[in-house]
Amino acid sequence: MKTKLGLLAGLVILASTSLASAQADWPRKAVTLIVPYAPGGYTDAVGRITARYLEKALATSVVVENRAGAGGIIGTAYVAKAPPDGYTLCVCSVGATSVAPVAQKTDYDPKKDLRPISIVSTIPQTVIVGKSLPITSIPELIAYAKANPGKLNYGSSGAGGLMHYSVALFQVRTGTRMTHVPFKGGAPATAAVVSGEVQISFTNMTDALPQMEANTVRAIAVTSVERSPYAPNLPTVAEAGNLKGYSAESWNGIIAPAGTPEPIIKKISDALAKMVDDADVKKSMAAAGATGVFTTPAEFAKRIDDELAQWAVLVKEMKDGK
Amino acid sequence: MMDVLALLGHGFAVAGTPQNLFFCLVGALCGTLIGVLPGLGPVATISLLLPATYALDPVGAIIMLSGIYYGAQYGGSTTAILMNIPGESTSVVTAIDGHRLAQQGRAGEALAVAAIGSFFAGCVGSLVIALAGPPLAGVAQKFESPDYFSLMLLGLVSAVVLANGSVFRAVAMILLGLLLGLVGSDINSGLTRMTFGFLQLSDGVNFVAIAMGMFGVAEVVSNLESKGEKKAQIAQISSIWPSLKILLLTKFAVLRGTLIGIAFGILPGGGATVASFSAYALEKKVARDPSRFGKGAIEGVAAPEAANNAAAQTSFVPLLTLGIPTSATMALMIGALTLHGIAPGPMVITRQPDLFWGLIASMFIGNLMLVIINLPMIGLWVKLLNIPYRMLFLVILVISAIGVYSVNNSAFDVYLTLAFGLLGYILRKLDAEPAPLLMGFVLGPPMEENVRRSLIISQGDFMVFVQRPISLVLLLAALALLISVALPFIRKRRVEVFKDEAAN
Amino acid sequence: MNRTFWRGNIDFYCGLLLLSIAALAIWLVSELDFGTAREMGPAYFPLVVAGLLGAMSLFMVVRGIVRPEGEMAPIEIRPLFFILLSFLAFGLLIARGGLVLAILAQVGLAHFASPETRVVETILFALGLALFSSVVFVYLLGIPVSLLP
Repeated sequence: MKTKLGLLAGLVILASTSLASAQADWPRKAVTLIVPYAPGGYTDAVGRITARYLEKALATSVVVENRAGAGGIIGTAYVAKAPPDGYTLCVCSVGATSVAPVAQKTDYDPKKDLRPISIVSTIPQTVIVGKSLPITSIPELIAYAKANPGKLNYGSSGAGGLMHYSVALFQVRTGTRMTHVPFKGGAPATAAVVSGEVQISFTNMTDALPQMEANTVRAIAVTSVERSPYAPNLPTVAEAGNLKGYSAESWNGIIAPAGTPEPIIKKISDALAKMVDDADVKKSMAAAGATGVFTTPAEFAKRIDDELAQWAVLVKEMKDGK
Repeated sequence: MMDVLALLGHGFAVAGTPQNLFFCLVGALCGTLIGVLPGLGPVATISLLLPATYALDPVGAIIMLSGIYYGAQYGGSTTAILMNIPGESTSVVTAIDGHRLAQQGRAGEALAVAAIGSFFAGCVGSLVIALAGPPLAGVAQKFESPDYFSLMLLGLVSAVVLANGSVFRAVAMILLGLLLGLVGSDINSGLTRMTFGFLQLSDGVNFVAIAMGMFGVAEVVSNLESKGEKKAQIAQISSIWPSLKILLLTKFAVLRGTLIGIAFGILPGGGATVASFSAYALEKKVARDPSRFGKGAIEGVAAPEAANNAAAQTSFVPLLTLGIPTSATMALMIGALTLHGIAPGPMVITRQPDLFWGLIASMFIGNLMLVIINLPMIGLWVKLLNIPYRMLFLVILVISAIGVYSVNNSAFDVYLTLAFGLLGYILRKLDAEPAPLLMGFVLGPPMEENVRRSLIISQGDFMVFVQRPISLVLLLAALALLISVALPFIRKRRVEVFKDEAAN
Repeated sequence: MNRTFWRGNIDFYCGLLLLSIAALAIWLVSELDFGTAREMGPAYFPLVVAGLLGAMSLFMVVRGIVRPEGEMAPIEIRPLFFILLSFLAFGLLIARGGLVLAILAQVGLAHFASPETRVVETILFALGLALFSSVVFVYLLGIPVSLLP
């Protein structure tokens, strides 16, 4: 702890002296892009694709640094407290930015301590059910769950993750009740649907796609606001279940510490606006199972606000329900 | 059969291109190197080298990364034997007898047996994947939560068997390990437990920090004590190569270890660790004179090394055929494949035959390379022991510290190592062994997770553990092992009581 | 209780150590939900394990008092103190001072852990290790640390 404080103090002094002159000719040195998850993961991939593009666009080196732990909270907190000089950015994700702050104690307030720049990729959850179940659509799922309260087991990547909360939100909106079966990670939870140990899961598209292709599970919907280009014939939960506004989508976005000068934010935002149409980036994103996206800083901030509000209501309901 | 041979031939054609041979060699060399450096394990190394593979084609990348993985299994046994510092949970048991052998001047023999055993196991393991990968994956899929719980229980009973001293103390150490394993987030509630409010502990205690502290730091401190038993003093080295007699002696141990490794390697969640511990426990049980174990029994090196290397190969089965990672390293492999645009899953074999068969073929080649790299190196490693300890310990300290730091880039883990070094040192003075503790630490979390999941799914019915055939068999095996441990203990007790009475 | 009781009684001390760890664990999870055997809460498993450990260590303490046995190997403060201190120095310096300083400090402190170390050898090894680690860990493996402050 002490180490970090000392480091921080040193950096703040360093930053304040050079801040005024830094804005105009940013970037003058390497930019560090913090990935708050372990290397090899999905966010890591998105981070590295983005870093590769920004290096070209900003003509400076962009160093990816993994600071994993506590579901992304450790790395996000690190960026929230970094000097706001544009040299430390984060490839944040929905979990640590929009869900964790309302569900548990975090050292940062996403509205006050973070400055969203742009979402760079999104990936929906896919509703998959075991092949032995007579369920082929969201209305059938709702009917089945209502007829057999608590009988359907759904797998998740652990309590508090998006795989858990997306179902929790679904249950609140539809008045159904299923049993939560947590696993350690999304892949084993998906595999449990294949083997039949659990019947259903709102699983990450990356994990679901190979199983859908092999026809080992039945996919019935996606949880995003719009349909996914990877499975265009799957309806969204909102349209199929007539649940207006239902959305549980995983995103990764570039976020800076609050207080980062506007000109720097604009420079990064302008670069990211072009990134979404870059052919190389498109190809790499598709390989990682992601969809490239661009949002303005204002749109991104609004999205985080909306999500915080949505999950806060859910967390409160879940706590009261107990 | 012909099909498989043809496909395997195709695989060799893929893996045999100069480019892929080169990647295989780089991987094997890297793996051996990091395996030998204490504290630096395959997880840290693969994650550090992952970015470097982005530029390669997917087959080359995965061949290199797997080379690092099984190369580290070879190299890991070297530090365990020479310095009593296991860097991976699978080489914890190798250290027990391996290091004793080194102290007796038989380090070369132990290293050679480990390398040859690993080579044999690696080849058989790869052959099994080639011949029966998909059906084996089907078996792995039959394992559900209750079965995993019973498997973990069997692993814990094996940990009791491998204790040298008091069984009572070994059980206490396992419990302490279980407790340490439970530090961190509870996946069922999302709440953190026993973290003292440290965010760094919310993902649990870092295994490398515990292993480096309990083994590395504690070992170095004891070796530096002037009044200590001078464990660091290594007897004159008798021979570097094992005699034919020794090889014949270990032939069945290697075979048994290989079979156990193949069987457990395909199971996600601690399968490889359970494999190496069970292989050791089995050897101790079938040996004519079990008392040799813990004092330098060569089978105690051969069997677990064969087991962990066989498991290292077969742990690719669930990855390639189901898309399920069996360990942290395998999770990184999934990441690597995904970055190259390949989603690991049931379709890999048919859609990416180059990758699947090329990888398997590269495993044969890689294992051959490793044994060729490692056998001549044994002489070098053994010479390393001639360096006076007053210099060697500095190297061990620095590399362990960097190794621990590099896992999460966190100074916190370095402090944890310090704390566990102190704990390990005191426990050592109190005659409590660290190996069962590490076993408890590794198996605790999946054990809790699976027992809770089983009961959620069975709606609180405890009978699931005996109703499922797989679980029942595993439980019976655990029970039989437990009885066989307890019997001599009870008998001895009775003899002691008898003696006491006679003395009166 | 005589001198031999205090000196040679590893059961007693081992039990005491484990008992305090078990007690600490029980205290740490006491606020969490225990649940039932059928629906275990976050505290259930830790409490069962800590309870078993506590019971076993209590037995060890009692056995130690009733029948003291097992001489404890003497604890030497010097190597223990300096080795632990050397790790502390490494941890404190790695992020602030860079890898080279951290290694020099660690080796420098570890030097005092044993009377057998020689100054010239230690200096050579410190420099050699700093060079080796900089090349292998920072340049080849790319661990994200700075070499110097």
